[in-house]
Amino acid sequence: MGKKKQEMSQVYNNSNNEFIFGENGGKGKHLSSFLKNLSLTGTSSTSSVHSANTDNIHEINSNIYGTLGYSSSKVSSNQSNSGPPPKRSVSYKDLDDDWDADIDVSTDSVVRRSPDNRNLSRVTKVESNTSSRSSFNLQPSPMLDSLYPDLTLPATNSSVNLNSQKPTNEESLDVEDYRTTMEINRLNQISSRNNKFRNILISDSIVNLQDLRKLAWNGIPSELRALTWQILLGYLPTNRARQASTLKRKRQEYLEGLNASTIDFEDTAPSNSSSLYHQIKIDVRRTNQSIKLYGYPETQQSLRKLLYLWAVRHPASGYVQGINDLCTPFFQIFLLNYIWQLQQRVLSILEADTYWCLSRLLENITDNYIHEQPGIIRQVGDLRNLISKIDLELLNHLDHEGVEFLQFSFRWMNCLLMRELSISLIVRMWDTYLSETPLGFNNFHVYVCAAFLIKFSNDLKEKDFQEILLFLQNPPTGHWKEKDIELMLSEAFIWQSLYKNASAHLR
Amino acid sequence: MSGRKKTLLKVIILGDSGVGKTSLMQQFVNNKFSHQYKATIGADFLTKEISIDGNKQVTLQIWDTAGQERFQSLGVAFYRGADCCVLCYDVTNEKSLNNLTSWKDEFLVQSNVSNPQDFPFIIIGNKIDVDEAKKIPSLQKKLQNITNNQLGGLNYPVFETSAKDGINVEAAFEVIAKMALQQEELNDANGNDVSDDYNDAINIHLESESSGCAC
Ligand SMILES: Nc1nc2c(ncn2[C@@H]2O[C@H](COP(=O)(O)OP(=O)(O)OP(=O)(O)O)[C@@H](O)[C@H]2O)c(=O)[nH]1
Ligand SMILES: [Mg+2]
Repeated sequence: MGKKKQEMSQVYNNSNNEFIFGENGGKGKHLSSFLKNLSLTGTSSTSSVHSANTDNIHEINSNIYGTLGYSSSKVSSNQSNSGPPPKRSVSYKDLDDDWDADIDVSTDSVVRRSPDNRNLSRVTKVESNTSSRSSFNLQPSPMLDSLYPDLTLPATNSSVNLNSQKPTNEESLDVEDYRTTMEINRLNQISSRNNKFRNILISDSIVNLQDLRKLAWNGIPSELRALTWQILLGYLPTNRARQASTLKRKRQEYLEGLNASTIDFEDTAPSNSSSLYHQIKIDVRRTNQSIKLYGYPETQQSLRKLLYLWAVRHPASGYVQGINDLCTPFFQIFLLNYIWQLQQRVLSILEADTYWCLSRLLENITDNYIHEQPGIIRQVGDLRNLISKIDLELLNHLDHEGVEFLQFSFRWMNCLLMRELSISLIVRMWDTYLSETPLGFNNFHVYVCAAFLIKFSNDLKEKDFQEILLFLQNPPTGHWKEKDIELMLSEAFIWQSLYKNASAHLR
Repeated sequence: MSGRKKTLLKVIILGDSGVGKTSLMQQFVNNKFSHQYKATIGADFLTKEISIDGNKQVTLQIWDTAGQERFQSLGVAFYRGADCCVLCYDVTNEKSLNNLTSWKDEFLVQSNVSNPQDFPFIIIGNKIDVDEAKKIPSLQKKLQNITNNQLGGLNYPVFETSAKDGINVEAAFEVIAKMALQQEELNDANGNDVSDDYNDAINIHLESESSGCAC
């Protein structure tokens, strides 16, 4: 994982922790406190603005998080944690340059450094800041442990932290200073981005889709991703007053759909005679088995349910292998938002949301999965055309070696490159796809595939038929970072603007 | 031709989704079994060098195809130039056995082989490691029906394997290689070298057209 991502995920994981360990166990209403605390902008001077927004934030998030019909009973009791600890990410915004290297430092390295009194006092200051702003009562605790609650996380020390253990010579201190400054810049960038998102999502009664797309094209902060995706997909209406009721209705509809089916979705159920269900069952068992989440019986049952329902509701294509892959980003992203209260009811909500978003996505590419898959055949042809314009030499080489585009790019279209790229990169890619109009899963995807292929142009030109296909069956993307994806997306964007209109009549 | 460069034999594995085609290929080529293989989309191939009858070195290019019916029209892109076709079923799934005939027919239609009457096929029944109870009842009788010339018309060698435990996989592929080599040589002799078609489409066309006249 790239450093940036590691850190992002830490910021994100912190938020989970608050949900999980927080006082009220993550009932929806605390999300607003969380967001407010997160307030990456947050000099105290802006706090009035924040409280003005609080209701809005509360409202918007309760749409997703709050009115899910959870009973609030089970949360409670474990108050020994002295309330939701302030988030680490809270801390850095009003900090001086000299300390924020600790942001990503696990608790024990903070402790290690704590003889340096600056740290301790800052921490305390931040803490009181936070509590004065937050709606709940924070017991000021000198315990570092409660300030840095994510002890459950393995200490993912970056090199900065490693250095910080032994500031033995001047040089390493300089390096550390430099890195610290960089770190602050980076975090500031993240925080202003987060605010822009938040403004769009909450400032008007109608979410401005244009603005949201523009912003989201370049990536969505992970804690706002679920919400943003659902809006971009049109699952969640832009009219915020209607969001809650829509969700409620959709989730109910999903459950009713399931109830109408006669399938026993238990894994242990005797093998069913329906060949549709059989196909789904064997594929779910083979979905992302390298990721632990997909090994759990609960996950598998959810996927079976939603895929089955989708298939019977869309008889023109029915279930086609690969669609199982397409639902996983939704499942995973939405899960991260519900994880603080993972239990049966949440699971069905998670399923319902995944189901509807998957449906929305697939509406854009129905031709990919109907008989003879004409959508994919067209895309493969478009890809070939594009390459003839962008990299004729490569095309000639492929032709000369007898490599057909269908042989390697069919899967790229059928699974939207999910077999070629890790899921975290796919998630970033979908931020952009979802921000395109029309959604990028159809035409824009072809430009992305072109950029993807051309990445390897030089390698491929050296290879013969067999080597080319073996290479493309398993392209070396294991070390790719978000940056690589973003570069690819920009290239695709440029080519799309260059060739979009030309492509129709050149075909 | 085969004297000059190493012989390349193209083998296609067909059969319903989930019968274990990917697992068989992985077991044969990499000697391993994993529950993490994903469903095959399109087709993949792996290669393995083997020697036939202890002297002739060949490269097997084994194509593992997708089993779901929706993908069947893709065959054209993958079947061409095949030297042998492996029809797979799952010994716990009767439907997969019944479908073998249509897999064969589909293959012949899409591969456009020159000798459909005597093109080499072989049948593999996979997953023999599973409990007896889960297997198709009276499997042998059904198998006989299908492989009987009069009834099912699939009068081909049959191997029962376990890709999981590596039972009989090696033996099956040995026979596959031999049959593929025969087919290759037959094509060579006929000057009808479809097997290299996919490798050098243009040249081969010239070659086969000019094969009748002297050079
Ligand atoms: N017990 C047992 N299970 C097997 C064996 N071979 C494969 N399987 C299992 O059967 C399932 C399907 O195996 P695959 O090899 O992916 O099947 P496939 O024929 O390639 O399927 P498609 O790619 O969808 O066409 C997997 O869960 C395998 O673990 C075997 O010999 N014994
Ligand atoms: Mg397979």
